[in-house]
Amino acid sequence: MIKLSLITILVFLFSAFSFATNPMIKKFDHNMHDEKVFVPNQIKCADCHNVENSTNGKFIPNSNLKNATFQKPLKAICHECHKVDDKDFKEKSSEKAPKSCYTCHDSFEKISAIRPKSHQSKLWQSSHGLDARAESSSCLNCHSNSQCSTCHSKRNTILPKNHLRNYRFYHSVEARMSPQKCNTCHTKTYCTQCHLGKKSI
Amino acid sequence: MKQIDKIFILTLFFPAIVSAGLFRFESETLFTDRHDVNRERQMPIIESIQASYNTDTNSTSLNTNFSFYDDPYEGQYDFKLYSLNAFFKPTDSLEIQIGRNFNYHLLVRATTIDSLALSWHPTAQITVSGYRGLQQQTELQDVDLETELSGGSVTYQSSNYFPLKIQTAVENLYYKKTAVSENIGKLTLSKQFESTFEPELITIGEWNMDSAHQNRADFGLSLYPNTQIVLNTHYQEYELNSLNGWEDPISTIFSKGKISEFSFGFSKFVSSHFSYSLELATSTYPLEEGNTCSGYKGTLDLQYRSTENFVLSNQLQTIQSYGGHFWADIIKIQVPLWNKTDLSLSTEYVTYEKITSAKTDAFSTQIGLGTWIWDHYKFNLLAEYNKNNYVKDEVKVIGQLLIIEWTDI
Repeated sequence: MIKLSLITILVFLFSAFSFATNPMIKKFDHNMHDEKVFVPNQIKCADCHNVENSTNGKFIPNSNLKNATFQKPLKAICHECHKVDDKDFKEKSSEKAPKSCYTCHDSFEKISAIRPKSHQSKLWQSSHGLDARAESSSCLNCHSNSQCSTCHSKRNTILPKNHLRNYRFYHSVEARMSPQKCNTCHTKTYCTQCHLGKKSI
Repeated sequence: MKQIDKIFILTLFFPAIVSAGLFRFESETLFTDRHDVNRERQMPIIESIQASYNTDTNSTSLNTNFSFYDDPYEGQYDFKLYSLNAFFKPTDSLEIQIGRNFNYHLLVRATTIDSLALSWHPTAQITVSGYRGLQQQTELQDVDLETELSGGSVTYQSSNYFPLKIQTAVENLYYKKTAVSENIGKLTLSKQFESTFEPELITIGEWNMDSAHQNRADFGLSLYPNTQIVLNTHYQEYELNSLNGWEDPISTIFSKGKISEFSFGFSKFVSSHFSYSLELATSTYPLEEGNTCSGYKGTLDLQYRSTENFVLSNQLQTIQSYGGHFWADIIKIQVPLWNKTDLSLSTEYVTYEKITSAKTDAFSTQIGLGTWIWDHYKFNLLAEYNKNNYVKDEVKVIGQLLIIEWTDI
């Protein structure tokens, strides 16, 4: 635990001196939107970005959201124009924003660029179960439920996706740490198939 | 004609029977030459296929996911259908889903089920759902659980950018083999808040409604101070007692009462190329009456990705429980060689000590060459070396063919 505490402190110290750009923002073609959307429709920087409208041209950060880049969640900003549920939108869409979801949601590259904030780090692997149980309808916006089966139901013994290669030699250590997690994908029969010698892989 | 052939042909008809929308097809073919734990030779082929179609307006979708295992050398064959379902939205307020799917969005506990489900939206904020079906077990050499599930839920979700969601659900499980039924209920509350840290709060409770026993309770809080940092905390209480069905859950082998686990995760993009995450967890539960045990887990992930798609990652993990402890180091490297070819290398070294065996270690490494042989066809050839307390030196070759079709039709 002392080692883990030291690592935690180092991580926090390191994070204090660093910054990065959001991969979602990098994928967004701002120049194209400037030319075709923002300037013709008189959309101001402050309509999306976290600055207050000013008359002298200087940007003033919104004090209520001082660390945020945007006024709203990025998804909400995109969907203000690119919305498919609005019946009137389809008529306008040929002249304004493309109506189809697949303008942005059509390839692995774009999907990864516009993924929600909860998916941006490797933490999603441990947190997605809770999110899916609480916000299940949101998952279906991008995923089909058959994608869950790929990891939760399939037993790929050639290239295992969920456990390390030698996991079977020390799985008992983790099973005794969090036995409830085994229940997510396995039943007791799965244990007895090997431990009672009924199966060989 | 085998069942597999019928379903495969059905997936080919997907794009033919639908109008404009998105069609996605993924195929993975894996084959290897290996020895099983009884040192008998195996030459299995695993073929997995996923296909889906969604209309532009998401009013119709078709999904399938299945795989088959074939070992001509041993003469073993196994077919698994994980999902084959259709979703329709005949009116703006009604949704129908029929077929087999891994259902996490309606059921109290996620599982694979053959079912008919209906959802009705009387207003934009409220959803009323109901379903009835038969649970399916899709593990290799599986058992027939013969459990009928039926249930319903009412969900309220506010329509602002930081929504509040409240859901209440009830489910009846009828175990046909024992002719016993069980009623469980779930209450979910989640809320996103508009503030500097954009907190997201999730609380979920599940009860056995017949005995008023709390099966599980979850409390999660996520914070997003800026676009580079994610903080997660999760506290869970879990006590799934013996079910009245076919078998007890695995957790009851180890725990004789409530399992409590607290976990914390921190992740940061240091730059557009480098990110890391740290996860810590601790758990406690009774081994037997008056004897409690604890466990600890720590994971540190470091990842570097260059603009040329050179990827280097290192994961350090340790777990300590009353079953023993282990340290693991996993290094993965991906090097783009040419335009459509990449080289990958991964190594896993684990040192562990279990209460059931002496201290030892295990090592595994893979080196692979992957190339896009055609626009949507990627072939990976991997050589794998394993050394553990079962095999001294094991080398095997793995072939993988991926077909990924993703097209607007």
